[in-house]
Amino acid sequence: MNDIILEAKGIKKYFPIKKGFFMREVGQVKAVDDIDFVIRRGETLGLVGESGCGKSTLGRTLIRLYEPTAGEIKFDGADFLKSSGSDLRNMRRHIQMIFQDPYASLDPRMTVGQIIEQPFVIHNLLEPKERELRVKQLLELVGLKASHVNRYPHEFSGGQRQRISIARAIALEPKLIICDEPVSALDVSIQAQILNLLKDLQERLNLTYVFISHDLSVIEHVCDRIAVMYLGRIVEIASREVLFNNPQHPYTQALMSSIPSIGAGKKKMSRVLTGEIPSPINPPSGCAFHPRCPYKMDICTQKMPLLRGSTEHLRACHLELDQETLLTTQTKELL
Amino acid sequence: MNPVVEVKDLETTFDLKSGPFRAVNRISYSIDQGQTLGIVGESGCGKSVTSFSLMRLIEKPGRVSHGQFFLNGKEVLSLKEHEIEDIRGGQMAMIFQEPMTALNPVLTIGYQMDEQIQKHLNLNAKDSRDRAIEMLQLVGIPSARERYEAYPHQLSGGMRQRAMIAMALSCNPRFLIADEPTTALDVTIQAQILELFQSLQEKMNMTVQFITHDLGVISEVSDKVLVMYGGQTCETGPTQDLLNSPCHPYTAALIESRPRMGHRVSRLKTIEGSVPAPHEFPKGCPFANRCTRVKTECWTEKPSLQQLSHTIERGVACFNPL
Repeated sequence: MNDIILEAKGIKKYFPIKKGFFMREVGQVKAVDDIDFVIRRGETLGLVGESGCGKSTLGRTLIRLYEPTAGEIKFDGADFLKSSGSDLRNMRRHIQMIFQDPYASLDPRMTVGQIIEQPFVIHNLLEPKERELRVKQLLELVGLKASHVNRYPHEFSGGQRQRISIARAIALEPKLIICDEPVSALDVSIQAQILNLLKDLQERLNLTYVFISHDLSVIEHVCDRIAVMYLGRIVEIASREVLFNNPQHPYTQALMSSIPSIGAGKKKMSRVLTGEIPSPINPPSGCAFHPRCPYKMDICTQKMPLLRGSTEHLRACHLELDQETLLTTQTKELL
Repeated sequence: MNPVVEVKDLETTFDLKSGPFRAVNRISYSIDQGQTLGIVGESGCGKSVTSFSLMRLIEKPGRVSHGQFFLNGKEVLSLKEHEIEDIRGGQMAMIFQEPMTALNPVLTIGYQMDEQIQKHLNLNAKDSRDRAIEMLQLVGIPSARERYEAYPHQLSGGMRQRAMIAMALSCNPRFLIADEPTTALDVTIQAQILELFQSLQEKMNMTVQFITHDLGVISEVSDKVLVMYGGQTCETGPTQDLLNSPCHPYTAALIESRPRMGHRVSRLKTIEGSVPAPHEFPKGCPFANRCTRVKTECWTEKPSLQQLSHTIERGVACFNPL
């Protein structure tokens, strides 16, 4: 069996900006701009970045909730973007999604049983009796009680609702699940429960995850490989160990040093990054990060850096590696 | 030296249809001049209600039903409404979590600042404008003169939070309450705001009460910590001491359930169940139904805050501490 489950090439998603009486298109938001990557079977790929970096748009494009403006997606070797009709439906069965807000992603007028049964109804699978049994099994699998089947979403807490979303996502035994900030809306003690549940299910059901989050400590906990995004592009992608031990892109380094950590002590914080995230409507020329980058060179304002390095560790930066290691050690000494 | 802030047996009750609910249940603490107290807890633990009670912003069906709050030796909770207006925004100020909802969307930033400055500092229109612009510059807002004329929606999230800090600090408060001031922000912006906050606190020698659910943030900004659960104090103490050797099972579980960078574990420890609904808290210790070290008396009696033997600064409310 092929060990690559999904391959994305040159994915772009531009949203038009329309103005005036005739709604003429006056510009574009380049939410996702020319992204290539692969997802390996059984792994958890993390997408991390700050708001507006395009991580959620990319996640939604991967399951065609948004049609990409350009690019190619191969799922299990077949062309996902060109497929339609029953082929498409069949493929979609294998890619599911868990959303951030468990209050908005469940229909308040449906019972939990109906919600989890929906995927079977849509794909016309199983007899009603079997469905009922399966729904109850799923509820127990995610740590709820089978007797909850006739309750409504509002009767559950945030963590329990997220469990319902998870039950719905795994109902059809998918191969790939896109988790879009699945724990961001939850309290710390509940986050841990959901993260553990996702991990257990991955082992039991042989799932592949794309895990989208802005929280690097959560990303470090769950992901095998991590892609760091900035303004619609991947700036660095590597395995967890490599990325956390040796972050090479200045943005990744800044992101890591911005995380407040327990035990660091009350300290004088050194300002790591100045300025704000630019607008994706009018991104800076060259490297999009250059207005905030502490190592900015002339070339950075003119030329967009491409992802380069070994296949295990790619980064998009003009700095030469040895120059960069030098700078990193200097920064460490300063801190 | 007397502490700037002293809270004694604060109790805030909400008269709900189902009966009275104590959102804050007899909490006491004090903060010395120039120090920061961090209040940590999950949603519904009463940390925001505590702050609103001190600012006298509790509205019906809630009321402060017991307790005292001394600010520089002056009792605040018994003041009349017009007396409190002289203090609120002046001697004590508050920064809210959501700058978009805390600022008035139809008034300019400048107008909202002037209103406060003119009242508390007795300045005329021109001087107050200068003061407002000076404050906006102080918090690092570029082209402060133009921003003074801007409406809240014209600023980004980070800039709005800066504007709110400028507003809160414009009348030189002695006591500042910051209620999750960085929760809605991105991490790199959060780092900028926390840094700004610390340097301003030092410059103005302010006493701060900092509320957050993020233990990492608490660790970096506060001198002392108070951990809340179900409206009660679980544990208090100097920040690093408390985070390094927590005594209350809830504090310990809270620390361990959070993934920490550089300390990867294969499985996170969890706290079973979730925070109960207002009327479903156990009779004794509010944490009893989720605690792994629960004993029989925990169900029937409320543990009081006891000093730890090895240090007078640490307190814990537990019958079976770690």
